Amino acid sequence: MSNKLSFRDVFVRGAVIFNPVLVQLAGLCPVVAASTSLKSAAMLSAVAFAELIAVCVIASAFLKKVPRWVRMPLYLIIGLVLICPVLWYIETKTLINLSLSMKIYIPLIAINSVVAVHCEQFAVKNSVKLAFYDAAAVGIGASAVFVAVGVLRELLGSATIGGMPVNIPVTFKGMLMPFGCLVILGFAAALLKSFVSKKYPEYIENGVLVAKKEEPSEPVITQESVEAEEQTDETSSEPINEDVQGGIKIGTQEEIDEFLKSLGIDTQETGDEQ
Amino acid sequence: MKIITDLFLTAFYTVFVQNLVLSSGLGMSEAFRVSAKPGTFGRIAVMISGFSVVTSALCAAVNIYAVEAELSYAVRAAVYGIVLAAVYAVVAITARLVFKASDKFLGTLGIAAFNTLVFAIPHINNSAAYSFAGSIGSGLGAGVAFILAAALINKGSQLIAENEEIPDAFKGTPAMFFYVALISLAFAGFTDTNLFG
Amino acid sequence: MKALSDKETKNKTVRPLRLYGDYLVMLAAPFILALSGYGARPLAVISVAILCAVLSDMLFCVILKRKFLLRDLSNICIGAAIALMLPAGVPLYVPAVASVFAVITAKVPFGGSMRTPFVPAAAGFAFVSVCFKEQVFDFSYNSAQKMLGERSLGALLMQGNAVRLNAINVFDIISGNVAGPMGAGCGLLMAACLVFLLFRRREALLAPLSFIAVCALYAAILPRVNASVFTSIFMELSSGSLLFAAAFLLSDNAAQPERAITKILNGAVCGLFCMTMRAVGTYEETVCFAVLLANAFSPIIDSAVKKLPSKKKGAEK
Repeated sequence: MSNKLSFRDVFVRGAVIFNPVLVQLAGLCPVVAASTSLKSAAMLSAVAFAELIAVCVIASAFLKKVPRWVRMPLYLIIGLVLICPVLWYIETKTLINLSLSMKIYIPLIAINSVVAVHCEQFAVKNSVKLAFYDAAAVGIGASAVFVAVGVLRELLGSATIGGMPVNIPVTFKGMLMPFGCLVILGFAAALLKSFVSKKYPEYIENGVLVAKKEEPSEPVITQESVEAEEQTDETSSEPINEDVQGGIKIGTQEEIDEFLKSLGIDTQETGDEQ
Repeated sequence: MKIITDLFLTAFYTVFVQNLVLSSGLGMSEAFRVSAKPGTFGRIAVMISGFSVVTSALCAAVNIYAVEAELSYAVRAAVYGIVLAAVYAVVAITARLVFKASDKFLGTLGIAAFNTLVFAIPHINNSAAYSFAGSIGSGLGAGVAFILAAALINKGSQLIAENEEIPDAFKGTPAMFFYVALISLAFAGFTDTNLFG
Repeated sequence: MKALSDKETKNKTVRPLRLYGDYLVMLAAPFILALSGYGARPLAVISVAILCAVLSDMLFCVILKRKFLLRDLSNICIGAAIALMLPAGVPLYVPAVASVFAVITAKVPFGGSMRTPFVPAAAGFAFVSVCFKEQVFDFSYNSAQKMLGERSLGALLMQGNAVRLNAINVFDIISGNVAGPMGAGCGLLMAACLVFLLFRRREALLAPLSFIAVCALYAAILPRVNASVFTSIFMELSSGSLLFAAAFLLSDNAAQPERAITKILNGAVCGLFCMTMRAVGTYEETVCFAVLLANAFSPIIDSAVKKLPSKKKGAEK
């Protein structure tokens, strides 16, 4: 694979235009369920960032020839090997008082969909350098959302920032619940989309985020390479109804069926009754 | 009788009162992804239930020991992860060698096994101190909660796609976020508490 | 005036002015009752709610560069409906927050009230129920003269004590002389609103009627109070905003499916969720959560119903 893509290219696409949380809808669990304060969001994003880079680099370096169905448990094991000792050390050897939700949600990062998506979609198909670039870009994009959402939820839900009281007249308990986070994500996604449509209009088609018309010559992140992979593997971690790096293009049932057929998947055959 | 009651009450709790996907965010990314493939709902839900139930059953013994030995959450997570990976390995190898399963099937199996919903079930059983039957019920409920969430999201995405009045800024994922937020708000009517506090 | 059919409203052949005009006529009655029961306070609550709904919609129209239609009365209906489900003494930021939330999350992102899959007023009320539970269910304002003092029927039902209806003045309950939401307590008035709907949009009555029927059935089978079947049904239907939601939220055509059978099923599902939430949930009033859930389930029910005739046809072949 080519190494011609610069970090900037990868960063703009991975962290901004196809932001893992706001566009690809990956990694929603930690942000929706646990990013209720700056502290928790910072911890989760730090763990997610480190884990994403480590697993993607390892996957790119050593797991390219391992079958996909064997790679998936390996991501979990590698993640746990990285996360659990650190968590164990914090729990038993330091005075840091982790909340119950942090003790549970931090290990859940090991099984995060951002990791699975980017290892499968990018790392195992590219050089270690590009895998590192992609993981760093995606990690920064996800972490930025985690922290921004954490700050907003803490401010609106608890009237504090980083534990420091802030004088606001009303607090909204609902913002600490998952639906509050989803509302914030909705506005953030709308803001991001408006920004992309102004700065990168080539990625917007009929109001929906899509692949750039003129793809770079490098085959690494082209639609074709992703689709080629999907044709051999129905259940790629990547969203089925999306373009390139995951901009979900919501479609009608007919469009979805047509899209699935184009990938060689017959929805009738894969029905529940089967 | 108490076993059946425990099982069904926990399953009901997991599906509605604290819908693990929509009220707690567990496995939400996977629900979004799977929602685009309506034909696979049932299969994935059965797999999720299967993995949750088997992992719950095996981890129930771990949980009893964990409470007695005061195991740290890091060690518990590691054990749950190893159990989950082992269950997947047994199922995948059996499917591959005995039933000659295709890569597609094994890929689906991987998605059903390795998501935050299935991995969180032993933690939930542990923190809620569910009985063995309750643990099985929560495993079964996880699958139902998942299929319910995926079906609701799927229909929502169709409604949004057909709606040409949606402002450009909200078209696609932003509108989907609001759609799911309002469903999540609706489920909040059952309980005003968050999972794990 | 000619009655509206739901097809007309779905096909946008009917102006929102006429549709929401009807709602405003209906909302005027409970508003006047609230004024007579609680003095000028309801006026402040309803004004704040409407103003915030209109301003937030206007703001988003500016941001999104869309035309703000002054004659779109939906904002007024959203604000008024939310306000009338709240207690008269509620702090004014509560209706303000509810209206803003309703408009910016349930109306604007879906392209307006004629296309939204959820009832915005239900979303607004549900949000403030979660955020300001104590304020939303505090019915102490001006309640000294009420039948049970500051205790609402919902609170009485949640406690699950033994109740004898003859000890309670039935007329007090149906006339709204019990602590509760300022505009939703009078059963007689809600019945009158449903009758008004009967003449204006007959099809819109299907969901509310099946909703009420299922709630009554649930109350009969699984009573929350130790009382006769009739007492249980009467108290459940009279408590909170159940009848108000039936008349004003469940009849909202935008969030309702087109087919009659789906409307009936949708109302039934809403009733089932509402009563289950009342039984196992932590909120005194759950009808708005149930309406949102029914809205979410509506497309699933609709597609299931659509598949039924095709199966029959297939069998005939």
